[in-house]
Amino acid sequence: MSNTLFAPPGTDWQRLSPRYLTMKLLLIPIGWTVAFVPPAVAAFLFVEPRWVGWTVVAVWAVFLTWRLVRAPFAFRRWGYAERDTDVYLTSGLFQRRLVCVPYGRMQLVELESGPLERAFGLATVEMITASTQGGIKIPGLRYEDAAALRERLIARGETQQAGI
Amino acid sequence: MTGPDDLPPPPYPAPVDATEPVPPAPVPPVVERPSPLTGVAHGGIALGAAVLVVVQQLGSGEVDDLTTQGIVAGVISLGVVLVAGLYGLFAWRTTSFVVADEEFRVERNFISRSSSKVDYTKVQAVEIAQPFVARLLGLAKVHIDVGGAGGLDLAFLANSRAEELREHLLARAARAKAVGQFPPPAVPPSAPAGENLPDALPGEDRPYAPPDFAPPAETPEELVHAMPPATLLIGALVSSPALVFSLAALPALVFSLIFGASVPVIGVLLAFGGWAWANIGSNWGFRMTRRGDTLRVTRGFASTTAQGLRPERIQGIAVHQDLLQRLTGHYRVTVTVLGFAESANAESSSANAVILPYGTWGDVLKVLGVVWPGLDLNTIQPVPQPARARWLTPMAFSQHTWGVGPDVVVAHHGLLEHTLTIVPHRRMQSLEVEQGPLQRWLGLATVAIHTTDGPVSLRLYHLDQETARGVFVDQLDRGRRAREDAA
Repeated sequence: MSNTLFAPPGTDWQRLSPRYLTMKLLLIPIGWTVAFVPPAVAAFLFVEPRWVGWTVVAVWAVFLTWRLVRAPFAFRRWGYAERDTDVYLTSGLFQRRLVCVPYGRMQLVELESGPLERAFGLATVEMITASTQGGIKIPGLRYEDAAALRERLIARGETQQAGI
Repeated sequence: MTGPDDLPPPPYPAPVDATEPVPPAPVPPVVERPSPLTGVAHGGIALGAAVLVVVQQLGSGEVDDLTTQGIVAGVISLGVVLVAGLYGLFAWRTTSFVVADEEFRVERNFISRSSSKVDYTKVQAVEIAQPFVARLLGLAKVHIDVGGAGGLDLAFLANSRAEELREHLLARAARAKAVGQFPPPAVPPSAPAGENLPDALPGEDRPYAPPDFAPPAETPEELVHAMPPATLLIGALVSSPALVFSLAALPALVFSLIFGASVPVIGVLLAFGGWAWANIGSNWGFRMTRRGDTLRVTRGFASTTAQGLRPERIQGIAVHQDLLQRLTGHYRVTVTVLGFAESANAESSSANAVILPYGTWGDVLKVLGVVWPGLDLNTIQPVPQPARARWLTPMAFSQHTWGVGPDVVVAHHGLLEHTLTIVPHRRMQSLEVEQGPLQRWLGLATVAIHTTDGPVSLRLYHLDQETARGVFVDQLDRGRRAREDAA
């Protein structure tokens, strides 16, 4: 791709664990089905013309297909790169972003792993700066990788701490 | 305004071990209570609020049976006042604070027992507020901002004592920051806990700081800017809220003229009067002074506010101009300051962030010159957006410019209301470049410079994507160099 705007900074992007994609592909149908069951049931039971209910089902099918098709592409957009003084992070399929967080700005590095993520052996690393504008999370890392990444980030953050 | 002094002062707690080498002579901690009038002040404030509610009820015409409802309102108000007064009384009896050489501590033993300790290095700003009733009684409330962990409120102190406490805290904070760390604590003499204190505590009216730590004494306080009342009145009159009020008043006026009903006009006038009173009252007599490297902002008519501000805590500045203020040439300057985001409530924190309510461009430069002396906006070449960005910002295109100076990034935007945002490289937290589908189609991208949370946020909209990548990479370098220089 000729677009260098989101090119990696010298090194290649580190990618997320493929298990994250698997988890997403499982969660998307469950989530959208749960969201659509109550309106669909209500439409079939209480609304007279049948086509209203079928419309809800059709919308559900279109949304679901769209999300499932989109998921692998969005997954491939995720990437991060550790450098000497900062971390690069890129994500987003349509609304693309590239964030850079200097180690010295990290006030906290958090490791989260909910029940679902644990079942897939995954974890999320969140870098917290004095600003809340960043929203700098790396999801879908293998748990061991995430723990190691967090240790590295904290260690570098301590040596390069720049105050606020 | 101090407590009854008839008790003989008890001896100080355990003297320092003389054999231990202690570089600065340790100061015995000052243990003190809030003013005994605290209860009266709380009751008075509640009374004021109750009267206001009753007046509003009367004004809104919801009261038909005046006697009964008057009695009910009176009883309820009295109850509220009593509860508030008793609360104040208990708060006074159960609160004590300890001003020691290396720490500041507030002990509360009211419903739950608590001891809050403030590390001097964490003090971001100290603010003195005087609600109207407290002002009548010569009392003041001290609010200590400590960055992320919220703040500490101390109500109420005698006015002069509150001032001394603020000077002490700011001086200590400045020293703590200068030294980086405190000298080894010189055997902190354990201060008595709050419960068994006599009315008069040791050290009342003793200065908080020993002479060698009182730098403000020899550096005189110099006036940076005092806002003349005319500027305040004109500025408020041409500000956007005033414009909104007048636009709202027009249909109300037409309605009143056609139907002969005066209620809508009176309603709008009352609302406008309330806003004008609050805005003008809170900014009345705005003054910024400088003593050493601490700025001080005082303002207020009925209740005065004074806040200490350290320029190195300022993370970003926004210069804002409302639509009609473009005709009169007035500007407002707001800042993002570490610690203010967590102030008691949103309204006061946004008010606190204003370091110039209304002023001319000359006033703005004067204030900027004090906050960041090295800054010269004229040397920063403004860069316009590429022409194809007109597709995304057809109206405001000509107003969108950005520029990078040796120490700061600036951006200007706004169609009707102009905003100039300034963030030093040194204060950048993280950096982001983003591109939506339309921007990708046009080959544009937006760069966002993240600072700590506050009223200032800096984004460079719709740069050419090659330029954006260049700005991104260069800005990271500039940020790193600025951090290394400061370290």
